[in-house]
Amino acid sequence: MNKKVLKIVQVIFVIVILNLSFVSAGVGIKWDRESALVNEGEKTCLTYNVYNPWPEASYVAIEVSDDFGELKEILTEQESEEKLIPAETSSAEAIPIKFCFKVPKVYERNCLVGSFICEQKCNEEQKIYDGEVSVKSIPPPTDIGGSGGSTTSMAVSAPLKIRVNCNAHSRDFTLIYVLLALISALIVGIIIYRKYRKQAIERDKEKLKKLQEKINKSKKQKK
Amino acid sequence: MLKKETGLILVFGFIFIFSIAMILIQNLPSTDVSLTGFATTGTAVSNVTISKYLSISMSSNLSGGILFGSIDTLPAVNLNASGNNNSGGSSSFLINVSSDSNTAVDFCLKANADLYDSTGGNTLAIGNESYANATTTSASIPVLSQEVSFTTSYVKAGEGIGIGNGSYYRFWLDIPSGTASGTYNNTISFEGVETGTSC
Repeated sequence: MNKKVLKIVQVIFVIVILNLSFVSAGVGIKWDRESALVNEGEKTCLTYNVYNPWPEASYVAIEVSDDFGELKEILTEQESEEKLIPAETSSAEAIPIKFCFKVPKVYERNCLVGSFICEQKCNEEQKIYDGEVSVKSIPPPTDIGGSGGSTTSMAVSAPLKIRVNCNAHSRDFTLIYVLLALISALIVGIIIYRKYRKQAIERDKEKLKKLQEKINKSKKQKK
Repeated sequence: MLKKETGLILVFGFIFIFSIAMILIQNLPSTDVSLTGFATTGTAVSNVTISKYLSISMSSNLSGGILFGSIDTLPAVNLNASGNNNSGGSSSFLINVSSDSNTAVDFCLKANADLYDSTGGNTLAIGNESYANATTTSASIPVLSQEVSFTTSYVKAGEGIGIGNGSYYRFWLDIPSGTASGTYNNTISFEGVETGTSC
């Protein structure tokens, strides 16, 4: 009987040990959109839900995958946060992670000076960029000894199609108006400064002096 | 003199105000508002959100790294990684798809670079490291004859892995004679995507 119990305990122990070797942190992604319409030159934020139904907590970061499509090449200013996803976080309790990026100006513009005083006609077809948003599990540092080997990393991805909106507009003279406003404000400022830089008595004295000169001049002319 | 100054202030003051007004006009958001009257129709919002979700996990042997141990004799061909043959001869390198997923998963694999010895500055070409995958494991599965060399681009290695199932891997390394001694490392990445989509 005792031997039987011992055998059962041994079997359970082996099963537990075997299972432990298969237990690890994991990562999961939940998404409800595979495309987004964004304005060129503007910052856009998307939210992806991340979960971890596995028995160990894991640190994750979100980014555009650099392996597929041209999406990563056009996105600038990618911002995302790293988050700790607790163990046993089910898809129903998925934690939202915000992921922000900026799409540069991708449509042709007709500019008079550099990238200023531009007009945009939007005659081109809508530009669409395919790619993937990837949630990466950040692995703990691994010590690779001996003659070597490979550390491993894990990620899950969702497809993302970015459709860039083109905003047609007539020539933008804002720069010219800004310059005009600055110059005119400067001139008005100089005139007012020159006018009021001396004290009122001194200004009156100068006026009086000029008047006297005028009177003397007219007296001379009469003589 | 007084009149001249006042005149200049008036002219440039006007230009200033005009410029500010034009800046505002140019940068006002355009609003296309159409007015309708006597509306008799109503609207009801129809809303549905379709979510997809998938989760994967590596076995602890796999997350601990793919280790090839110490080699004393070169060349070495098809060197087994330490988890290739667990007790009973099966592989302990496994990636699982969680039962808390609603789509089957394709797995993609890549290496970041050649294996590199940072101390000696030597490299071991990426093509020397290879893998094979299967949905089951035994002493002979995954099988060496189906080995595929690593590349730096993702390649599908395990497709249509169902919810709650997994994919087993074995890894091998060739070390040509003449390879300088050292510890060579790189990083292998595993990616899970919805089945049928690109890596």
